[in-house]
Amino acid sequence: MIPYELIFEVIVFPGLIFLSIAVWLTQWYYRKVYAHMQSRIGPLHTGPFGILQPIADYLKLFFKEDISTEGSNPRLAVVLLSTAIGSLVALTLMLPIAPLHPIAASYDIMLAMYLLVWPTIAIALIGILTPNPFSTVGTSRVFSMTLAYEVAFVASVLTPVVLSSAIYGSKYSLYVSCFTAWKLWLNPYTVVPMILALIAALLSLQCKLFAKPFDIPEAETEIVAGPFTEYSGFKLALILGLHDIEIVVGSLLITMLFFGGFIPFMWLPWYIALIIAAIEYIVVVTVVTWIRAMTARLRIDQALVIFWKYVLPMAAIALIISVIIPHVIA
Amino acid sequence: MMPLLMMVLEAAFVIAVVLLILLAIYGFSIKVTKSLSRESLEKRKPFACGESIPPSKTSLPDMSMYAIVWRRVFQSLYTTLRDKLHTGILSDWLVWMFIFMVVIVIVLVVV
Repeated sequence: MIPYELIFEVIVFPGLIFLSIAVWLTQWYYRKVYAHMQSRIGPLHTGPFGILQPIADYLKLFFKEDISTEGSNPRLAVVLLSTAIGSLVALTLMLPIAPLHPIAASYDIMLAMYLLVWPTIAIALIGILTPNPFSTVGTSRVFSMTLAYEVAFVASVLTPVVLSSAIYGSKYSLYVSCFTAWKLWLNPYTVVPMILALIAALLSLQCKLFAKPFDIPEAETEIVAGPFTEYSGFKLALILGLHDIEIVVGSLLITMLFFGGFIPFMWLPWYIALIIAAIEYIVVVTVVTWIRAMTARLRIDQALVIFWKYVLPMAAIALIISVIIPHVIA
Repeated sequence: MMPLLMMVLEAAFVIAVVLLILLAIYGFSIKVTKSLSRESLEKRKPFACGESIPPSKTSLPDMSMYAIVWRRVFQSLYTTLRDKLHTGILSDWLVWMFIFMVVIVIVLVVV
């Protein structure tokens, strides 16, 4: 039996076509906001207000020559990057925006955690696949950074899932938790762990995206482009695409899991609920862009110390409280 | 909601579909750009700091992957431990080894 509904979701909505449009608009938005925060104009000439600039950039890379360095493994790099993009598409299908055939089960948060780690693994491995000292140093930095933010991100995403499972019975399902977790903001016992988890999630997402101040693995003034130094053409387009899809999916995950997206407003007409969800999403993207614009790059030891001393304990405390609180309420 | 195994299989199916689509686009991109490119051996050589280097000399030992963590973040802890453990006096070394053995015995007994 061919799952036509699933294939439609993978290709059209909320899969590749929807994500491509979201990447296009999100990239244009954050480039514009980032530029204005630095007293620049940003994309201007390609299309009205430069809105077609991201498409022009991707098209340019598509038609550029794909140079493979001696001793590299270009096909494996494409497979790894495509698998990572596939894992993010699968994660999107686990959110309540999937209209026909959502991928949901009890304890599906374990699969979501696994899918979230794949982009990092892919980026680290494609760095090893090319023979270049800058790539190798960048990869070493990616591995080191992973020790800092992955645990914090997992703990911060787990907090609303654990709380809503204990209080509203969502059975550790990411899909069901998105329907109930927003109610945790209305409960005085659960507000504190939600605030701690949200701050930790935003900072970890920043680090996961290698955005300033955590753009250490691709620090262009030190190591050219880190793991991506030897990549060009379609492979570079895939790398940038993976990065942009990670921004979209990460922001969508935070929007849906922490704020419920359109779910708290389902009593309103559907288009107003969608507009409110879009505003929530834009706020999350703006916060990520704002942190990126107002900070300078940290040294790797500074970033690791910040995560281990502040962000990881914050996420761990939120998770511990979320385990204890339901017993206190009961 | 579906069973967990079914969900994992569906996620794998999603990844496989995306992989196939992107590989097909990659194949098409290679076909298009090959006609535009010019063959040259120079551009395929690895360069570092303006010098051409053999691919074998560009890699890092796998042990060094987490070197930054040990050398930079835990530097002070490592220095403190080294100064305390490696004093050059044999009796100090014996004391540390004795403490280490006691810890192992305690762990084994408790577990």
